Amino acid sequence: MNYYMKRILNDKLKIAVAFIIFLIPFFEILLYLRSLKYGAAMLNPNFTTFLAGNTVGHGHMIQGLLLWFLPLYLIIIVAEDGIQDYKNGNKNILISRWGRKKYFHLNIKKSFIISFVLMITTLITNFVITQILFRGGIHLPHNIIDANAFLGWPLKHPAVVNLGFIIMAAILAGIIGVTGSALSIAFHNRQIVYSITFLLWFIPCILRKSLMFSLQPFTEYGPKDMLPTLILFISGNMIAVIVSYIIEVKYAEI
Amino acid sequence: MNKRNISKIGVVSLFSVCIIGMYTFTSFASDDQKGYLFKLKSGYANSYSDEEYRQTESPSNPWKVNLAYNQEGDGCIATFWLDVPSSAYVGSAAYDIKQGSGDHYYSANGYASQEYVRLGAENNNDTFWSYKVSGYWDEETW
Repeated sequence: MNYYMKRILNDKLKIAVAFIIFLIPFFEILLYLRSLKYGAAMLNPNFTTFLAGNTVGHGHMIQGLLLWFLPLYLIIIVAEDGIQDYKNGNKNILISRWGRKKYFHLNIKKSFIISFVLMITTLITNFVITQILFRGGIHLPHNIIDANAFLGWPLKHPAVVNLGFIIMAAILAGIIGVTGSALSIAFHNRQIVYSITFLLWFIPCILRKSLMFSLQPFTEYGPKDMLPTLILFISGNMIAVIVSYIIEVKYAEI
Repeated sequence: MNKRNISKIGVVSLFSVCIIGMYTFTSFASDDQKGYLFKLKSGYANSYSDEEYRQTESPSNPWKVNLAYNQEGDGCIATFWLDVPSSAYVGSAAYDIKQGSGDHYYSANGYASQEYVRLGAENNNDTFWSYKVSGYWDEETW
């Protein structure tokens, strides 16, 4: 773990991309502050979080910038070294040190942890900052008298709902990182790694019951709507990881 | 005065009363049902109804919206606001409306007074698909 952390911290591109992920929610806050200046209503802070997507206007483009392209950022940070190791021969050194299986497992673990931690840090920071900045905001993004627009429960516990979706987003990010890493070890070919990881993310997002519903709180969609797409996403990624494992551990030449 | 003159005066008075009455009564708005039908676009892109003239000077004169049909599904939600095409600002806050929940009345702001306005809408979800929505709205209700 330490070994990989050192590699990432020494790589300027990876640090830059991690910063981009961390900074994207701040742009949304800036846009919301601007629209407040032009007379928009100050929402209850729980509805101003990045995932809630309630800043009508250009804020939605910023959510898309992070969420639709999530595999791109994560692969650069956690999966590129699988490809680099193969190209510069470092892979053989590490395999002779740890063995093929341990090399694979260590990479998967490190990718999950780094993707998860990066995502949850970004979103929790955004949550805390919006709680502070928009403290005292009382409006809801819908007329409170029309509470029939939403289920009653999320309306009564919006902070809990936000934290639940943040954890979900971090888990999904972890899964993307794991798949990217596994594919880059088995195939060490950028076209294959990027395109398959993206497909496994995009296809669930494009369905009518989009994967995006599992990332956005306070909508008309509940667990019943999210579950089938989540299962599809997780199984698709699991299959990719298992296939990569089999190819790497059983069939690779030394 | 003979009969002919009296009837002439009568007809002219009748016309005048009618014309004056027409102008007096057309300056009041009422709670109407104006239909809208358009597609909610993907990626939170906006859609708009036809324009109507909001003649009131009072932001507390509410605009109205009713989401009668949503192709996304029964009970699905869309976000609506009062849009002012000639202005950089919108004419009201944005509200999430559930299909089938009836008429909703919301106040506007000063940017909408005595302007051409239209109903603005977008899907509340980040979706790849577009869905047809239809229902009723009114730019001012009294």
